[in-house]
Amino acid sequence: MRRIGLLVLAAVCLRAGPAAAQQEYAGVLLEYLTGDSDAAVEKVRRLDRGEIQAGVEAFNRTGALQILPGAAALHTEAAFRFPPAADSAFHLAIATAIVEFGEPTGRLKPNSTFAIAPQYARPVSDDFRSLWYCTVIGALESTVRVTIAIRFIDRALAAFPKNAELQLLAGVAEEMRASPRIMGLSEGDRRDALKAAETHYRAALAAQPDRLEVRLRLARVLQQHKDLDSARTLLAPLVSVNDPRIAYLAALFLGGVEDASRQPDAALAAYDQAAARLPLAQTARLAASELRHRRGERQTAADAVPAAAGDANTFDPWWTYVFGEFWRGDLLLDALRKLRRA
Amino acid sequence: MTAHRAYAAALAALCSLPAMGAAAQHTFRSGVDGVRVDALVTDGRKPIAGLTPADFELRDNGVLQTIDSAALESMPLSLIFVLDTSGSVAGGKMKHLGDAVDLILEGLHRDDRAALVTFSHRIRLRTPLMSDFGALRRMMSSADAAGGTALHDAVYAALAISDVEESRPLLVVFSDGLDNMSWMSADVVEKAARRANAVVYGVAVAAAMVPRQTSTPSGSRVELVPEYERGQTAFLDAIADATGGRVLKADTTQRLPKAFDEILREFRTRYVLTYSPQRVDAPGWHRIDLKLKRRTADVKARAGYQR
Repeated sequence: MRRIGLLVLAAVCLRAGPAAAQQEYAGVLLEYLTGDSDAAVEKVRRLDRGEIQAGVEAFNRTGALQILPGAAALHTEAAFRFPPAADSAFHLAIATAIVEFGEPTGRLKPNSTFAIAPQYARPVSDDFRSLWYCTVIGALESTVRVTIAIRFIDRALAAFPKNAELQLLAGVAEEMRASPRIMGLSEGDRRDALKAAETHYRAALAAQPDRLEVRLRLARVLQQHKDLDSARTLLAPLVSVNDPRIAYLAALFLGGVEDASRQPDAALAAYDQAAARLPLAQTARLAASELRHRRGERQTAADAVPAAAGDANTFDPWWTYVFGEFWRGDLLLDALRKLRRA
Repeated sequence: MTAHRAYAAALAALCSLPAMGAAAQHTFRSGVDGVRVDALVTDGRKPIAGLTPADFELRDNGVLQTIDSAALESMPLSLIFVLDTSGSVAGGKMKHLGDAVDLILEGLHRDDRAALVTFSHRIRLRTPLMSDFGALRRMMSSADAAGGTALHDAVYAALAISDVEESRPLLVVFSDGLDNMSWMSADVVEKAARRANAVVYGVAVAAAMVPRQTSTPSGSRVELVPEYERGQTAFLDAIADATGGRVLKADTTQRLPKAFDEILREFRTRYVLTYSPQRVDAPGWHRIDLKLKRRTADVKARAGYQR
């Protein structure tokens, strides 16, 4: 760490340009790499574009090449840590230019108000780069920026076609496109998106067969394709896994599969199983209530509503299912930070 | 703060409002001997008063039935508000919504009851059916707006709790957008509405007011016109049709109080017809056709019932 700090300072001393801005930036980067990273992320968000550009430019003219991936991690955190940054797109552009250095997509547009033209930089390591793609794509999906996420997915899969995590994220993006909750695609485009999601999930499963999230999502896609038997086969073992979120969603989806198969008893059993797994989630309880209402059990159906829609019913995995693996966003950012500080 | 914790905190903030009113929840058994049909009879937009059972012709699955009674306001009202409190309603719109709720509550009678269901991505039964309207007002004033829109699930929840009532259930459903969070499809909830006894009135406001230039003999002028999203009211239209209600396009939330007031006034002019089905014993869906015998009128009533 001490060595990195010295390199940062050396880099600043070697710069040309607005010295105060470069020193400010160097100080923030040094703090990120060796000190209070959270504080550094907050500080870099407060720097103006000129200060950031001057800072990055200074490093570009030095031989301190290992600093740039650190800067990429810093700006990625600045773009995606909660609360959302006002200048998220700018921070992401800085990080992208560093990570994708040497590639057309990594170069900023000629008409951009700033430019990053590293003289000595080189591509970041594959480990860093694949993790960075996963972090960025996951964050974009969880904030419903699907179109931008897909641009990164295309580049990421070109570089790492067998990466299970990237295939999963690619499937999520297609599932989001297919969802009327996100986009208003035509029925034909929606079917195509679901088909693409299935292809990505199958690729992810081939690379990582024990990944529960992939099995769950593949089952959901198959259910929407009306391939109910295949969906049931995938979901049935998932309802009893340890992860309550996966188990709940699997039982909820299984209820939908059984209902679509005209098996109301099995559907009800699945919904009740989901409700038992996460008693404060409301969707499974409402689904079970509706099924009972359909069967003429109106009092039971009505009695279920206060238990599903009370003050305590504050979280339901269904609410966030379509936004991908948002809960892993911070884990990925943490991993990215760790990789640059190691 | 991590995104996960932030998300949890945001959800917690959404859900940290005061506890549900302490009034006991009354439950009633639904009537099983007869079928109740809530009907609006109008000549143009003017309600027709003074009708008796003999004025109506009602067919159950095509079989003419004998109407036992046709009365105005013979039963207390069970009003359930189903109100969109998703993110798009935040700010001044919530104030307008609160004003609309206040106005309709002022028009209720002592033996009427009201409940409040709000929805974003989360459905909340904030007060059960009760006559303590002050508690409902307090819950409404403390509600905030954030999150997605689970309109279908919310309407189902309200239908379910209305469906064990012996009084006349009326659902007033307000939404300013399209569903994007529900588990239940529109079709599933429409079928639930067909099975239920409630009458559903929907109130929609436009997604935006957009300027449009119009030419007049004295020149051109620019006016703001409401722009609804494509298909925005399709679900509400279907639910209202199924239950004999209707959808009011208020255009802006400032006009919500007027729309809510219009609903209550109109509902008070509806007839409650009852009959005991004869020669139609088959289980399943029973289509109801209702009209006046000796004059032309617009008759709005539920499309049928499930036996």
